[in-house]
Amino acid sequence: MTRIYLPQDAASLALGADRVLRALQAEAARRNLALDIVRTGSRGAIWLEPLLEVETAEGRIAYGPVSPNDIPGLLDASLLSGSAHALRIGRPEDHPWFANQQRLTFVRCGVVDPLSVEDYRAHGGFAGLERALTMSAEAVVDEVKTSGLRGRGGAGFPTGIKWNTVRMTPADRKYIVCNADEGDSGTFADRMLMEGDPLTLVEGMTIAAIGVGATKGYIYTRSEYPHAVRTMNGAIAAARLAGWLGDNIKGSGRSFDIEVRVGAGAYICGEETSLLDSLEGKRGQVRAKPPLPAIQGLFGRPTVMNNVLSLAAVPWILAHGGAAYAAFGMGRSRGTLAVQLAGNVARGGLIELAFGGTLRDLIENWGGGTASGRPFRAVQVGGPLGAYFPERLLDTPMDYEAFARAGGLLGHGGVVVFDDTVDLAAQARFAFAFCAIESCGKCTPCRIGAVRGVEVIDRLVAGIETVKNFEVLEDLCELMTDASLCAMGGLTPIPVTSALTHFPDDFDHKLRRSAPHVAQAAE
Amino acid sequence: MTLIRELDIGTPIRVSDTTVTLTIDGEQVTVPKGTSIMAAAMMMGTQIPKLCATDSLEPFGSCRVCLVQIEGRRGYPASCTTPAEDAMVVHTQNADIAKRRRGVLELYISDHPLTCLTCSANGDCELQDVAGKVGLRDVRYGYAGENHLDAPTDDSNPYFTFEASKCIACSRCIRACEEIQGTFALTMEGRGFESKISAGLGMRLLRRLRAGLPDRDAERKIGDRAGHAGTFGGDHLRLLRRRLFLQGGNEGRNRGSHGALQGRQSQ
Repeated sequence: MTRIYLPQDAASLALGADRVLRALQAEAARRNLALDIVRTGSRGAIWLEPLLEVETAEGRIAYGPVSPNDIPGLLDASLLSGSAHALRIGRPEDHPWFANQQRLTFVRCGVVDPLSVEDYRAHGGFAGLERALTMSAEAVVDEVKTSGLRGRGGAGFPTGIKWNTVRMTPADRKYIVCNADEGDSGTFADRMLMEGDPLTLVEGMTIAAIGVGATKGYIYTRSEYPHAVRTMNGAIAAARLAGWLGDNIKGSGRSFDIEVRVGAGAYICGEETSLLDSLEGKRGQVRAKPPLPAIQGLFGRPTVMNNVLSLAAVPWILAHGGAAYAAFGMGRSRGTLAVQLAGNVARGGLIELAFGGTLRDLIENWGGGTASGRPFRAVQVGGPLGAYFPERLLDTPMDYEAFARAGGLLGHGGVVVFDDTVDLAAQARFAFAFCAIESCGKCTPCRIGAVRGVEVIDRLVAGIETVKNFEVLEDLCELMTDASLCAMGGLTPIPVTSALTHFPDDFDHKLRRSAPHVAQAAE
Repeated sequence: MTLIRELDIGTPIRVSDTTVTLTIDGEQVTVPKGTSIMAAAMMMGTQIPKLCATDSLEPFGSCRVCLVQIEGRRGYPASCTTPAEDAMVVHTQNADIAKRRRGVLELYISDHPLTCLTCSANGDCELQDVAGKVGLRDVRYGYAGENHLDAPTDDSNPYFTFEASKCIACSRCIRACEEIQGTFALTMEGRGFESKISAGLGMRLLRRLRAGLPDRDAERKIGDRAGHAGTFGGDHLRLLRRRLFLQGGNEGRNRGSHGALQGRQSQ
């Protein structure tokens, strides 16, 4: 019986993976072929999805992107022996798009059966937790400190230091909360990991629990991620059954359990204090800090609040040592970043790279330029609150500090590419409009400021009192940056000011008439 | 008619065995640990403008009028939610701070009825006071933008009128119901610019409060459910009159108002 691997993560499904499956099953039945089909996550090359892999003597041979119509032809060309075909890309690990990545966190994603503990073990899983179970809490935290791991949710706070605060705060209960409320535009890394290698997250959270003395963990994710919720719940149940989760983990005397909670669709609930309120069953509204969640978090108890990718980096760190992780990267940004390349780009997907690569390399070499074939104009990094960079900033290295110096942020690693038809004034307006829709409404600069921001930009591009309105816009941006309660209002000016700085012509009502985006719209 | 007004130090008094000493605008002050910067400043006689803070409620940090600067820290933290710490050096007044406070008030007033002269809160209105204190002269956004000026007035209660168009969404009423009364009678509905005080989806605001007034029908309803009709309504009403909103009454402890909730009896 030949083993076939076919992804079933949300992106692959959207690209027709299930239709490919049905075509394959029907065709195999017709030809009396026995197939063992394993549904995996995605390897991250969304441009090759659905990516079908066949197990052969030479290893797994991949074909992609496969459509249902390709199936008869593939079988005619004896797909099952891994033979030549126009769609054949060979062994994925030899393909430059995969081979040139530094896969640490996503090493198993797309490779393993997401719900199989045996498969996970066979690919190096639980090695980190096994080691952590033999260590003291302090040693576990120290290993994470040594790795230099920083929060992958966007703020970049050192994970080990946060853990240490929780570890040192006495309490009757402590919590691990995983922020999987991935709402940034152009991001899908959390989803991909939860759908493709959920046991890594289970393992990372359990190691965190050992490090700080927590007994209960929550994964807060989105209602828009039904496949991730299902897979995550399946993985938690499988880990429990195998003794890697629950009471007395693998006879160590330590106990920890995880529950998945699903949000109701508010972007602001990705902000850590709103997330905590939402998790407690309240309205998702930002809390003032202090107190820090590490000291008074969920239900008033010390809480580790980390992004999926921070927690999922931990098993590798414990298995291979913090120093090995810190060997990757540049400056104070250690390890790898899961870049999510999206928007108007020919080869989009998830690319895990050591910090330090440039945007130009990403967009041109990995992404293959724009999908439309038109000239590149702008790129937004770090979600809807990230900066728009022009061509001349493309050599900015992927590094927290370098991006901050250039007036931007890495955020959660989402990279959205635009060609020359983009209207940056419209994008700046969208930043305010997005903030107005998603603001929790607690603080004044965000609640009222975002609405006024949309109005001011409308007046600017209409050519109404432009000198005065530029000044008003500048003051509003300054106010929101300095006076907002949380990063939602505080970062909204970043896309606006970057658009104003790098693309001032788009805000000039006279120049706008001849701009390509306006010409395009008129066509 | 306004009577003697007590100083509102903005956040509740904290009791602690230990004290912290900090410098505010060049003056040293020693306060119990846990005291907010706002309260520490108010205690030494420096009034920091504020709208959402009041010393009968826990700090909330929503209005952003009370922002200050702390040496060695980034940005402009709110003085109500930031605890005073030893050796902290705080500035409560300078041009940068003033500009931001004015900016916040400019946003508030861009969504507020310009009817001060005919408003019953005129002359005894915290919003008006703070707008004056921060020197707001001009609202450059104009008044034609999106706003709540047409928000319906709720007069379902015999004692109060709630003019939603004047509400600044500071959540004081909600927090009083939670923290002091424990009734959780009110909540915020919607988010962002759509946020509004609500007694429950689609419910008229003061129906809910009225349920506790000496109204036989309402008393029976509440009594059936909770068995303490008198206490519920009586306390709630007293709270609103004495501590928070009602202006023009004959209570000694008058803390002013934002104008949205007006007592009708005494007018």
